[in-house]
Amino acid sequence: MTELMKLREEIDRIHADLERQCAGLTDRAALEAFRVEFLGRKGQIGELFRVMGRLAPDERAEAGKLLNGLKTVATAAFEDRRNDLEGTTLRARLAAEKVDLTLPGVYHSLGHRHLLTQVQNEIESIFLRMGFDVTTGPEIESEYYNFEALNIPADHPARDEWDTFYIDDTTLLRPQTSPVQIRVMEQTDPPVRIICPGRCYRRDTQDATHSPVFHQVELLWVEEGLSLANLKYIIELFVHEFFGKGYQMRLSGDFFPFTEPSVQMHMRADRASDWLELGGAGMVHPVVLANVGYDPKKVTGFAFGMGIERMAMLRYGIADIRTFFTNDLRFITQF
Amino acid sequence: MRVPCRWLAEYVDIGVGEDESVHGIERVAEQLAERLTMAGLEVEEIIPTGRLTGVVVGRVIESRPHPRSDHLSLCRLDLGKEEVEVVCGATNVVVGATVPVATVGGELPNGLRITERKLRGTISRGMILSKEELGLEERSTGIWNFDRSLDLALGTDLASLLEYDDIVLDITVTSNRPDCTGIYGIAREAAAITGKPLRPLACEFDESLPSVGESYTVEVEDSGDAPRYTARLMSGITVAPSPLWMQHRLAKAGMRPLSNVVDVTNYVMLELGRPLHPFDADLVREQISIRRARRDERFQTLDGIERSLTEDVLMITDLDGGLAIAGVMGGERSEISPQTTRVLLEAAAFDQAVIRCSSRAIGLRSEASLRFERLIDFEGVPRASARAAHLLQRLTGCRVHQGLVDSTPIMSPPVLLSLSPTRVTSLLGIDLDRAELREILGRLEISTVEAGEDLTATIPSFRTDLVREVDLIEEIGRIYGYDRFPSTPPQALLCIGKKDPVEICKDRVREILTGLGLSEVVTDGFDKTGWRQTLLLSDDDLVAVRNPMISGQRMMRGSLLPGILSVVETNLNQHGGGGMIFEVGRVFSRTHGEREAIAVALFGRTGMPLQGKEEVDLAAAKGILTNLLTGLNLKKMRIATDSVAPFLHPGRGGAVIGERESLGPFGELAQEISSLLSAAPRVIVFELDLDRIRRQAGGQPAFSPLPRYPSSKRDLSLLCPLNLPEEEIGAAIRSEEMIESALLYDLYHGEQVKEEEKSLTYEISLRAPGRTLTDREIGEVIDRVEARLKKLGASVRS
Repeated sequence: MTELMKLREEIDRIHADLERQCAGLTDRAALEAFRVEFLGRKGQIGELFRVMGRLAPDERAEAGKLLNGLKTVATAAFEDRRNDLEGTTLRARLAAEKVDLTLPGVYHSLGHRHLLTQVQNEIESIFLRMGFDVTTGPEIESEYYNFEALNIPADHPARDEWDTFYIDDTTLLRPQTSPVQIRVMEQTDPPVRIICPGRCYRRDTQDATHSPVFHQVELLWVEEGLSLANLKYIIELFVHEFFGKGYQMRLSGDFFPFTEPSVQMHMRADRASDWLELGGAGMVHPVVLANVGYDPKKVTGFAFGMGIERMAMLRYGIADIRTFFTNDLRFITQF
Repeated sequence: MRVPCRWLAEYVDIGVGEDESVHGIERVAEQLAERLTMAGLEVEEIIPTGRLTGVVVGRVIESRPHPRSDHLSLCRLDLGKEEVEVVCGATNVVVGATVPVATVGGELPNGLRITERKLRGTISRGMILSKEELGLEERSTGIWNFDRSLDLALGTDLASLLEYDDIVLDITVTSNRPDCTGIYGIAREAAAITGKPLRPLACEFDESLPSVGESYTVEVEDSGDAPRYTARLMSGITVAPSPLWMQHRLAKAGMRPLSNVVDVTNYVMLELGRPLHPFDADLVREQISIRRARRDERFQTLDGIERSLTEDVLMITDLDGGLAIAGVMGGERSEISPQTTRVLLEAAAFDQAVIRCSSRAIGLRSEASLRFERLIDFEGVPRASARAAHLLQRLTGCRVHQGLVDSTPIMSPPVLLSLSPTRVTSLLGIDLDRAELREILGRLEISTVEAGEDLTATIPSFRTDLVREVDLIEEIGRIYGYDRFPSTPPQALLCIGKKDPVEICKDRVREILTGLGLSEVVTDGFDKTGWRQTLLLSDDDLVAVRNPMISGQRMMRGSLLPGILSVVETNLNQHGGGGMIFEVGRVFSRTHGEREAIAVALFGRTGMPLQGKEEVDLAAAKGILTNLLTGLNLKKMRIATDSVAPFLHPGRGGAVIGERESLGPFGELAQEISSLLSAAPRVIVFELDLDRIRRQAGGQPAFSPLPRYPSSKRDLSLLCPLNLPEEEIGAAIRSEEMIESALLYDLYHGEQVKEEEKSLTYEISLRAPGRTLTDREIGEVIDRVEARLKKLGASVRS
């Protein structure tokens, strides 16, 4: 038997041996032992390379080819096995790491702005986009701003229509946001384009449609050349933006001391039969313009006022105004 | 104001004929109501009177007790063409009297149909009616025995006499339109709106007796109180019930019919909106004087009440003293009675404010005072008087003395207003030519003449509300019809809407707090006294309301905390659990006026999933506070614990201090207070002065370039006394310029740490702007920090 033949036999044996052993490897340590055993510098394949020196020169080329072949096979077997083993471990780890994604998250639920705030913010946003400033004024107001300046002199029978809380003879809790108009016009030259949202107080007995405390938004636009038909356009824009396109609006006659002509605003859904009142409006009374030093011959203006609670009640179908002030979180968090 | 349509139809053709069917009149009434509402006379309600059929006049010809009942009677009735027998339960049946009889097949206004009925074995073929069943009074005690003077023929159908099948419009008349507090005024509006002519009001009568001036004179002490006072004298009157049509018209309009004299004055008041007052002339002693009441003067009004008067009250008097409280109510002494034969009829104009004061001073408001409080038309006085004389003469055949006693017989010239057609167009935004303008105004009895560019309008005396050009423009818009107005886009320059900065700040507060899981509440702005007292908050500086309706409105809130705690209470009572809420709003004080404030309350369980049944805690609350103030651009914030509000847990509360000033209390509610709440939950509250926050807040942030050199991190574990505030430790660490940040990432107190100590671990981040720090530099910084900490009693843990 030539050395080469012996070598061939040995290679076959090692080949069979390593394939058998490799298939049985199940952990990293055994895999490492396998590598040392076969592929290490002093491993079985390395030892065989040493035999090369004893071979006849003409046999060496072939022996080299055989040995390299074995090494390749062994390396491939080792790599395959290692990849197998690592994949299994990874899968096992990932499986163990599985989380139940149907569990609830841990968080504070988002809070809710009160519905009245949401409606007020939305109304503000609509008019801000049209170029109206949002302004405010004091809730404890003087009789002058609330009545006199608005063309409601003392003993005017219309004063009874605002059943007013008084602090003293000349100070009151404003029953309307209209005094803000006067305060703004006193400070500003025309044009004036504002809305005034805010809280108002009236001596109303609390029931489903009355509350001693409520919120109003007042609009005022004073400039040269404004007409009642322009007022109608602005209200219509608002109704369509706030309630939706499927609503109509109309005006009817009314009386307020601070507007002339005075109108009432109504709206209804296209298919509904009843008109719903939105609030009062009109062309600013010349006396009011003169009271703030404007020239009623030069500028005209219009104003309207509406209840924020009423807007919310109309839009969300809330029947009782008291709902807003009970502050039950089960109500607040619905919106 | 209640307006029966059939009465209205007497003055203007509204499409209601005498024989109009119920259905027809309902449709007409609805259309009219719509038009009136559009023109500013808002119809609140459309009230049908119901039907009345088969009710006729009958005479009781026999009445005997029912054989099988002790309270019913059997009555035989003569109905003219036939006789019927009915069973009647009333006790005031009088043989020979004429009565209203509902016959079989008839229908009553309340919907009752009359059928043949067997009552205790006897067949009843009809029913004798009361005034109540005919809609003439609220409650009747027996059947209606017609007064003989009514002289009703047997068998007469009562439906037409009573004007049944009518519709009543309930109209809200705005305070500027006293002329529309009368049905004739409404008719004028209806005529103007529909274009139909307004029929004149009959006011003529014979004046056959000597002048009233020979018997009476009038003296007005202050013509400011009573700009016009007139009296008319009528003789030969027999006081009796008014005819049925008048009685029912009054009833439909909401007044109780009494007698012809009183009914006529009420009827004219309902027609023209001007109250009149009749005196029994035989009980009035010349001369009539109008003066203020003397202090403590006593006077018996015709409702039988003796009233004590003040100098605010205006009186009508004669030589014997008070006759009437002017414009409010007459007196018992000179009241019309069945014996009255001569009537002195007052028609007057009083000062509105005087009537208001009078009526307030004695606490009495009447139909008359309500009208006089608005009425200032002096010229309409004689007309109302004449209309009443016309009606009284027509009804009673009385004789009228010539003329009027009149305090101010001179007519004042009519008001003239100039109207520019261009202004009409520009103010209303509709195009009307001059002819159309004049036509519309003419329909309102406002006559116009051309005056160059403009028109000159003559205002009728009853339109006291028309004093400026713009008032005429409103009339034109109203009658033209607001529903016909176009909606025209304004021609205006574009501009940017800006929001008040305080409102923006409040929005930001809401944005931050809702983002952190809090929900907003809105309470009513009044002081919640119970909760305020529980919190031991003083009322010294609170703003008081002078005229509250209920005790909950006596003062304005000086703090949001009582209100927010009342909300906590409501929610715990309603559904238990817990919640996180806030309110942003105004608080009021006498010294500081109105300020904006924020209040937060966390109460009960957090409600967070997977956190057990944990309650809200202070750390979470402080986190919310810190986030809020940082979000509002406040650079510095700390909690000072040297003084704790008495409503807070003494070891768990303090005051929030901003850059300079205190912003408000923060902490856990004292247990004796939270235990008042259902389930005694933990409650954490804070309140902040938003105005102060805004004053201290920084402005627009300045950009700082991102660092170009890396930072180095070191962990620093400390052991320190348990009561050493973290604030001081943190400050000692952060005082080094190179320390960019120090994150406290662990706090431990327990095993392996001494009882009186705690362990804190910080991750410190160091950085220099222009270079990478060396280990040596870092070591030096840490050494200095350690030295500083040592002085505080803290040592570095190895």
